[in-house]
Amino acid sequence: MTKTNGHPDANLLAAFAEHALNGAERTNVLAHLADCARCRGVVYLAQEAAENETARVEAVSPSSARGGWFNWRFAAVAAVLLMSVGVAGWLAYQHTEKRGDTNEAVNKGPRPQSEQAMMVEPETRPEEEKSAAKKAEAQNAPSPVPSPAPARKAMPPAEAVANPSTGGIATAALPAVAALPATEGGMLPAPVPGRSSATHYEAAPKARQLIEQERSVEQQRMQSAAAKASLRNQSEMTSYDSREPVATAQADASTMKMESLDSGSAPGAAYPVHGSSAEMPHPAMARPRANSSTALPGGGAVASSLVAGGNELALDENGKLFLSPDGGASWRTIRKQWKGKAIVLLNAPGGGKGGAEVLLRNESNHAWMSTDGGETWSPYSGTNSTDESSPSR
Amino acid sequence: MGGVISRCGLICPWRQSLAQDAANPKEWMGLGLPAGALALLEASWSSTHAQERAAEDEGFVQFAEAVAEIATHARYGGAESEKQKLAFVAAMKLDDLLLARECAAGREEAWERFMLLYRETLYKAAYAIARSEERGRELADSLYADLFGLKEKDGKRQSPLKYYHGRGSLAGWLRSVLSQRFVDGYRSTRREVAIAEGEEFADAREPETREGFGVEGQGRLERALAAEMKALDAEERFILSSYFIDGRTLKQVAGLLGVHESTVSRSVSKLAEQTRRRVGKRLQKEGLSKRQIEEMMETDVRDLQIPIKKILQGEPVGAFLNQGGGAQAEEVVKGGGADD
Repeated sequence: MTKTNGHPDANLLAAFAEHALNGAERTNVLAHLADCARCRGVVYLAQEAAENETARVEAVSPSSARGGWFNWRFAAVAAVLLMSVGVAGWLAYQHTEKRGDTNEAVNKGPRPQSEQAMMVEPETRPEEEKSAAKKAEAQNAPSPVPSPAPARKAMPPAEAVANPSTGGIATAALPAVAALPATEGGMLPAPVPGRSSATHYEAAPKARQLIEQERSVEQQRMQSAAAKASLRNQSEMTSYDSREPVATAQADASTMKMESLDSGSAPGAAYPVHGSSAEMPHPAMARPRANSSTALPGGGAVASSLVAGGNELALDENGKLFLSPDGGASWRTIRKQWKGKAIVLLNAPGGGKGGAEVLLRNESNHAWMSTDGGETWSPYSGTNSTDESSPSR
Repeated sequence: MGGVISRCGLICPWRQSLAQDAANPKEWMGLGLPAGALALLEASWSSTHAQERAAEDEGFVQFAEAVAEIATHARYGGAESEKQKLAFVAAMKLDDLLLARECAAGREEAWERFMLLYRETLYKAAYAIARSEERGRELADSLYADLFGLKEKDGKRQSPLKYYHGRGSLAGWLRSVLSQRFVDGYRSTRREVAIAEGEEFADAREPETREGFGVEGQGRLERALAAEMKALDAEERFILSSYFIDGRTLKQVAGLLGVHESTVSRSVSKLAEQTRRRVGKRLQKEGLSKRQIEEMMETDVRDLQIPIKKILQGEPVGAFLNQGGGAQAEEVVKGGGADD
């Protein structure tokens, strides 16, 4: 045992006080301490100093009793807040799930890549698109279907129109899609699974009623979209997702044909994305057309419609073609002059003869043309088209 | 040994791999450290010397030498096997030891670190020990100056830090040194202080004798108690001394022994009863009657605390009721044991 003047040195005393000595050394120091009041005084004073310092540290430490209580209280508040957020999120998720089930009943299939395009910031789009969207919004104002804008106020109109199915290449069709009536999807984009939860969570307190109305309208459109599903399946031009609502699919089909037909007027040219004439709404497309709520003589829903040469043309789900010379007030059936089931009406390239030329395509992707506003139809050769997917094949 | 090793690396190329050296430490500078100890030292070294390789630094060599010297001097705490020796080295506060050694060697970086880590501790401990800010500051300043090495010997600064062995923490060592200085300074001026403050005036008083008790009776009881005290082991005597002589609380005693307060409480009760019974038997053997013995141990024979306390303090038996203590008592209890 190290001693100074017969006493253990400070090393041993400090080690003893900290219980750092082993058996033999501890016993020796303890024996000395038992008999030495001086060394006992040293170790007890050192111990008091250490305790005093520890107590002071605890007094200012956040882990002290008071600090610990405050910490617990803050932790409890944080836990309550987290639980509240969690419950609210779960309720919103449940709401979205319920809605998602309705949509997926019709729209089963892989998630479209075009959804990525939905995330495009509106600010990045050309001003023409925005103005066209605004214009379409203004035109659709008197629509009987309430606008979901309050429920999706975070989504600008142009984006709301473009979201459903545009994808990367369909951006050029945005004006045309935006020009569609609200009942055909222009203002009612398909729900976006990845975004609907947060959107509906924000909107639920405010626009639950609007959402319910929107849901019913969408269900109607889904029914008509089922008839259009075959069109999309047969399409070899794009990979448009089958979950798109019918109005958008219809617009896409028009866009596809516009692409193929435009390429006929401009052989070899790729479909323009921005800044081309295709971005501007076609005259025929810009005019009001029959919509799904229009009553056709056959009782079927409108599957496709156009205005050509002053006549309004409409195809129902059964492929029957109807013509209205008075803007939809009265309809008459056009005799079938084509083979198969007509599924879509298309504008002729360039809107020849003042927009009186119109195309009709059947399930077999064959086309017929009318140059008199839909009265008479003749097979369309499509010799101008260089596109393999031309309906004239 | 450190002078043999230089930084050139040519003289001692075997120092290049410390890990390899650690596997066979006896070959490494002949320090005699157990296998694996150098790795511990290197870890402590690396914590503050990231820029320098341990095996190539003279400071590390000196550090390793110091550890080896301390461990050898302490005989590795009685350890015999290499594993026990390694445990001894591992239990040392190597980081603190390295810092202390470098401070003593005059490394500015180490001294700055010491100030950062321990200056406040030093002064707070001094205030607590002296129970006075003025005296505490004086105490701390004095030690602080010594630690810095204001005293020189042979042209070299002499710092008490080089006497720190790393057995306990550096903070604990500093508190112990402060306490030693305070106690030694207090004891050197105790008589003056005691008279002035009247704290220990009772020590100077003549011990009272109980009427009818007699000097012979006092001597018998005193011897009997001293004999019983010697029969106790170190921890039991420490407990009794701390509790009855120093007046320490159960918590303080338990804190030093590393046990619970209740353990100390039971020990005190058990020792008091045991000592009373044994002293009574011893006195009975010497021919005292039971009545006389009871009178010696006060009326309440179940309570031997006061008699034991007085006897441990070495005061005459007749001074049972005397609440004071004295240095005289220590010598009686110690029986010539090691003390100042």
